[in-house]
Amino acid sequence: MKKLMMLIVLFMACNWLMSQSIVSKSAPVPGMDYRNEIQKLLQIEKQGTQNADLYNNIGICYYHLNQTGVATVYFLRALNLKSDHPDAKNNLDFVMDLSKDKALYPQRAFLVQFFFRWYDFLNINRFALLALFLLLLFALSVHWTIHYDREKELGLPVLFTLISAILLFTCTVMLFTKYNRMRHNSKAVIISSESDGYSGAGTQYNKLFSASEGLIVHIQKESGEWSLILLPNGVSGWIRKTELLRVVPK
Amino acid sequence: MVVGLRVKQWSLLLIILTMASMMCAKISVSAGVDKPRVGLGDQIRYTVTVSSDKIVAMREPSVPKVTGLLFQTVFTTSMTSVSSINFRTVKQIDRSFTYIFIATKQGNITIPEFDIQVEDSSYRVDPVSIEVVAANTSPPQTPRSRGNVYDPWGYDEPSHWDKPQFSTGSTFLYAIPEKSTVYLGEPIVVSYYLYTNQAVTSLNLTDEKDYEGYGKEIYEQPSTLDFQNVKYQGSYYKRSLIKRIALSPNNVGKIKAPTLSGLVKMYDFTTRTMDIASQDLNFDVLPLPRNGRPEDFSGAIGSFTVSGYLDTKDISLGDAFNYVLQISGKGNYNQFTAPLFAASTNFQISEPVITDNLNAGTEGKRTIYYTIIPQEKGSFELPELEFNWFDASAGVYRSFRSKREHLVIRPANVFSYFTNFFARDRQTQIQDLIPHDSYRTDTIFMRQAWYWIVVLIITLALLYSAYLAWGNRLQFRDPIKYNNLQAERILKKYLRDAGTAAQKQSGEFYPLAERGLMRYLSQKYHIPMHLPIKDKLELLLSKSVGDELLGSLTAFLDQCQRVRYMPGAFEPSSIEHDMQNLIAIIKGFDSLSGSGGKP
Repeated sequence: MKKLMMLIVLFMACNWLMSQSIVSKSAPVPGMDYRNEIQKLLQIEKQGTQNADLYNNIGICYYHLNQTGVATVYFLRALNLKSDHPDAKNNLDFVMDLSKDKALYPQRAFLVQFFFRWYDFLNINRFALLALFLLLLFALSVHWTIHYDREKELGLPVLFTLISAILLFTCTVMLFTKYNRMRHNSKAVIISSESDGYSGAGTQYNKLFSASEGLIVHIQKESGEWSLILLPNGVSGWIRKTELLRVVPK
Repeated sequence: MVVGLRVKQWSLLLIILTMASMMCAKISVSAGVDKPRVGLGDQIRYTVTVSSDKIVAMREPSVPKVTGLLFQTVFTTSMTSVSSINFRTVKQIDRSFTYIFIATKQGNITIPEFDIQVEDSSYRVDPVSIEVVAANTSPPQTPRSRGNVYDPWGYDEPSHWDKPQFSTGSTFLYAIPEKSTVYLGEPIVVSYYLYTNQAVTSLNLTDEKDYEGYGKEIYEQPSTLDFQNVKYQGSYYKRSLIKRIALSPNNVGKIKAPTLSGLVKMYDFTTRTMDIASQDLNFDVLPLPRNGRPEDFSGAIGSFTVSGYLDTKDISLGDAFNYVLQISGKGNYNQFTAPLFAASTNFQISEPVITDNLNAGTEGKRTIYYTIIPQEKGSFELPELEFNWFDASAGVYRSFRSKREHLVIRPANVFSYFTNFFARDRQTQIQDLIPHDSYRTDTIFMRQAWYWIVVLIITLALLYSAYLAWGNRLQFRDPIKYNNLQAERILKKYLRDAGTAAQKQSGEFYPLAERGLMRYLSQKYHIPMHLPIKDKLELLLSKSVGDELLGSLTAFLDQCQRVRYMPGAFEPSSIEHDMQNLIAIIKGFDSLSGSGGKP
């Protein structure tokens, strides 16, 4: 019973935490000139500014200009920089729902979704601060252990040290994994309305599939003008580079 | 009238200009190696690619001469791709010259830049650098085994084989099909061999002419000439596999296999070249029989082994589990998709996920995963999954049906209820722009100096704490050693200061030396510091310090007292002597073990 209660409390806490990131906003501003706006935003991006809000706003403009593929790329760029960006997350969910190929995305079990929500909530900076805190905790635990009264049983400080070491190790691994993924994200989005995937790098090879604009894929290999991509359902094939846009440009 | 004439002239001029621009080929030349770092003795593939939007006249570039790279052979490939971008058809023709080298020297090697003549223009190929490192320690690669490769016309070397005569003979490309009759859609492998009884040094494939009625994939393409001895039409030849292509016929009737042509270089007293081409090769494509064809025939043709299984049978409501269908063997994998389960209200079955492990899309294994989520608890039968294919070797249709699986779905566990929990967060409209006066690059803490300084401080603090803990542990386990260490540390500090004063011939030497010495002795022999010198000396006497050493100590301390308190007693010239005395006293005490006692 106690366990169930704890679980419910934990679940409610998580739900509250997640709901913090869902902010309902008004409908698009009528009469907004998205073509002009996007020119301004792209100019700022060209100057080297890497800002999640900027990417999100560019994505919104592209969406209103009926370029859902490019819009998806910019929402992904915003999330690549700040994985807990609420607007970019919601906008990405929205454009993914519109995709013709949405059935290709695998359905995740609750616990997996739950893990990814936490993983996204801990953006790179939150992870960095958590790692710092755990390093401090680990240092204090070690200090406590090595200066502990020799006459007393060492069990408790050793347990603390062990737990803090495991937490620190896990957090550090996840932090560097996230940082590495942020820098070398292999995700890309189909930007042409319909793209054909072939079994080799050329149109003379057999056609394997067709993918629609906005589908998020992973680039596995590149050869000349062609990229080997992996669809969300596990099928892979070669597609023209010009029909894709990388989340992290090379 | 005049205006009309001018309009016509301008239109004509525009048409001519447009045509001229279309006629003018867009050419680009690039070069690269397959790997920038190789081991000594490894093979390097250096490829020069000429891309254009139309067929261009050009000669094969001469072999780049590079010290440290031994030229092996060269082959040419060409590829044409046609695509439609913005309703405009774009054609691209890539012609690649691949030179095979063996690295013979360690170090950095540069394949120099050179010019290549395409049409009437000259194009510069950029230099390419390679690093050749010491040879790999792994065992050397053995030559490709013929035994594992499909070889329909394989022939063992006869015992009476004589070495072929190279002065006269013939060299030709020969295409060998896997079989002469195939069914529509059934993949067929065509092997192209170079037959020769001359001293062939290299083969450069210059063209691969395609015909209508099939799709193709490269099945195998060796990079070097690897000859074996065979007998063909009563004569002995050497032959080497050049290429294997898998063809998938898409028309019924006679189909002509691609024709390969190339340039052979051979040594016949002098080096000479010869054009060769594979013979015309036709095979018959039969339609699939109508008799026995299932209504939901998948289009799969080949020799397959099919099996299926459930990854678990321990299922609770809301849990997801997989049905795995495996298809292995040889067939037209690229021309059929995954079969679908029959509809069911008791199970939600996802789109199949396909994982292929295939060679040229014709041979290997395909695994298909179906994710299934039960919709209610109880005992249900999993809907049937049927996969039909045409067995080309037997000429009959075959079918695979999944086993009838009765599944008991248990009540859900607590997590199963929440599978679609997060779906309620989905937005029904796109958000508005986030208002910003200006945008600044988002700060990433890991890239900030302060972050790493804090990490460094914590780490240093931890190290200092560990050092202190080590001292405490030593004091607890071996107090004598700890005291000696502490005493030496004190002594070192004061001796350093006293030594500096002695070098400067300063009177400060005496108080520093006295203080250092007394602190050292106090730490080592546990003598309270507040005692007068006389009492300290008496205590030292009780600690069994030798009389001679004690005498030297007393004399040195007297000298210190004298210099400090007696006006005119300080003589700079005596400092050096006193410093030597001090060192001798310390050595004397150092040689005494523990916190007292004679050595």
